[in-house]
Amino acid sequence: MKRILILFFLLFNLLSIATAQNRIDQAVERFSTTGRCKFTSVVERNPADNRVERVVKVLEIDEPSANRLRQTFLAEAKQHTYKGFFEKGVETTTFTIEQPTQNRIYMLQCPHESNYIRNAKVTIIVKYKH
Amino acid sequence: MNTQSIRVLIDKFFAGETTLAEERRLYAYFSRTDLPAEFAPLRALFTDLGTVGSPFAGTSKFRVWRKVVAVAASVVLICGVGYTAVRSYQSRQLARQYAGSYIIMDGVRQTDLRAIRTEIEQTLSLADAIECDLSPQGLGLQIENEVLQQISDLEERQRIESLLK
Repeated sequence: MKRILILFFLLFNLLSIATAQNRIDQAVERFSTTGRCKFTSVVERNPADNRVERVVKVLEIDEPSANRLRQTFLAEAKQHTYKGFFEKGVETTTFTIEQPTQNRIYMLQCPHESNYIRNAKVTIIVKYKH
Repeated sequence: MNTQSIRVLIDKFFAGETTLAEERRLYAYFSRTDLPAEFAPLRALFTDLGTVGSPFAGTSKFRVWRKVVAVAASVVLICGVGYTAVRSYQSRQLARQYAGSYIIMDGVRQTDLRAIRTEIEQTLSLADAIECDLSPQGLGLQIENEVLQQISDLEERQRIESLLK
């Protein structure tokens, strides 16, 4: 029974991490195809064997829905060890997720003016471990 | 130009040994009105040739132009082939490094790696900077800076800054 509980707990933890990263990734993908925004997805490969070494996704959004993106991001960030700081009127929030096959870095930058923002920039870096 | 030298030129002309300049001198000479009687039978021939120009001269000009055009065409062809080869090589290199990258700008997707190359490189530089900032050394520097910014006394800040170096 104890083993089953531990296994269940581990599975739940893994699932929650996967869901968290997917929620931000999904939000970024969804916002990238709608509204006024610029989405850059860069796949960096090893030229020798074509293996993917790093994926960098940057979403720059310039419309009221930036607020929803920020809320989604912050909700996920709170489930991890995140770091937030302000510099020159810009609020930056970062957190990382370490996994056996990859490390993921999430960063949100938006104006630190009010609770309701109109533009935001999300950067996701996925580094693969080979 | 005396009669003797004209005779020599006429002989050279019929032997096919005259230069273009010599032929022009002959045509000019035969266009004169005070032509000696001995050259009168040849007047019509040289006057006509002078009017239409030397057939040989035309041919040599044409040959020169043909060479110029051929060289120019070769240069254009070589440049074209070279340019195509370089572009093809660059495309292959870009695909090897960044295949799968794209940009969506206001709903329009751009997948041409050559067109978005600058954006790709800027994005990777940005990622490098973020990774550097989040590395233990980067975080350490950030914390140091935050601590230093909290110190309002300039002298004290400089003293601590020198201690941290």
